[in-house]
Amino acid sequence: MTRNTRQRAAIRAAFEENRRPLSPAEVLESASGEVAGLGIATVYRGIKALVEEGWLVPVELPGEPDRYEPAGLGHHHHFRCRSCRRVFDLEGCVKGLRDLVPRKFRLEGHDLVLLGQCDTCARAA
Amino acid sequence: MIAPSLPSCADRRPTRQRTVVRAVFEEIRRPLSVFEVLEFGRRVVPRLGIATVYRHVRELVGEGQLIPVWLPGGVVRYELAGLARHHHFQCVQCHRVFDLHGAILGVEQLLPRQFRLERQELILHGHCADCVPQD
Repeated sequence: MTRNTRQRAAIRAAFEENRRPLSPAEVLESASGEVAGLGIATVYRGIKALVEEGWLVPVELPGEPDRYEPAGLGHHHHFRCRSCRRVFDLEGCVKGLRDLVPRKFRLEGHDLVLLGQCDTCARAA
Repeated sequence: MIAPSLPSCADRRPTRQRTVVRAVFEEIRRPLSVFEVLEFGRRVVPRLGIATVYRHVRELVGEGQLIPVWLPGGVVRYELAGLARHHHFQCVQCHRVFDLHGAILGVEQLLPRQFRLERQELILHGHCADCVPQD
């Protein structure tokens, strides 16, 4: 395996292990044990390449830098903890969206982000 | 020299323009980008410029009178602070953003155990009444 391939594999493994959207800094923290000499610039480059290949997609959040997650996860939503700033996947969906939309509007999709405190931070508070 | 108690021309114009910027939000009643504020504001003050709109919007945000509206992948929009809880709809065609009122169901059920919910951001997408394809 070339150095580049090893780095890329470590980045992919970070997403597969953590199973939640990650920032480049979180990827570095998770993957630095796997590959000697992995730095933040390499992680940024690796993420960019994986986005271009279609393996990763950006996760947009209110007032926050993008996180990334593997593409093709299916419809889901996100929760962001204001204390530790980690982002978690939420399963399931909400109801009643169609009733919010005026007649003559056509509803085609939605984005929902919940904000608050995760279990670890809520317990510590 | 103008007496200090009298507002000079230079003082009066920015204040009037600022009032117009705020009035646009009160009248249009939906989240607006600075470009939209400019468009509506020019109907009242034809000489209004984009730099002026930017400055007044920034000041109004700094004072807490306007707040930014979160929209994935979009130009930032602003709305009046202190509006009753509501959601947003963005048209995929004209990109205008509209306020939606009413409750959604099942938000609490999405939360993992022991997670504490404080705020939610919901954006609906689709075609608005003006842009719905006629088929």
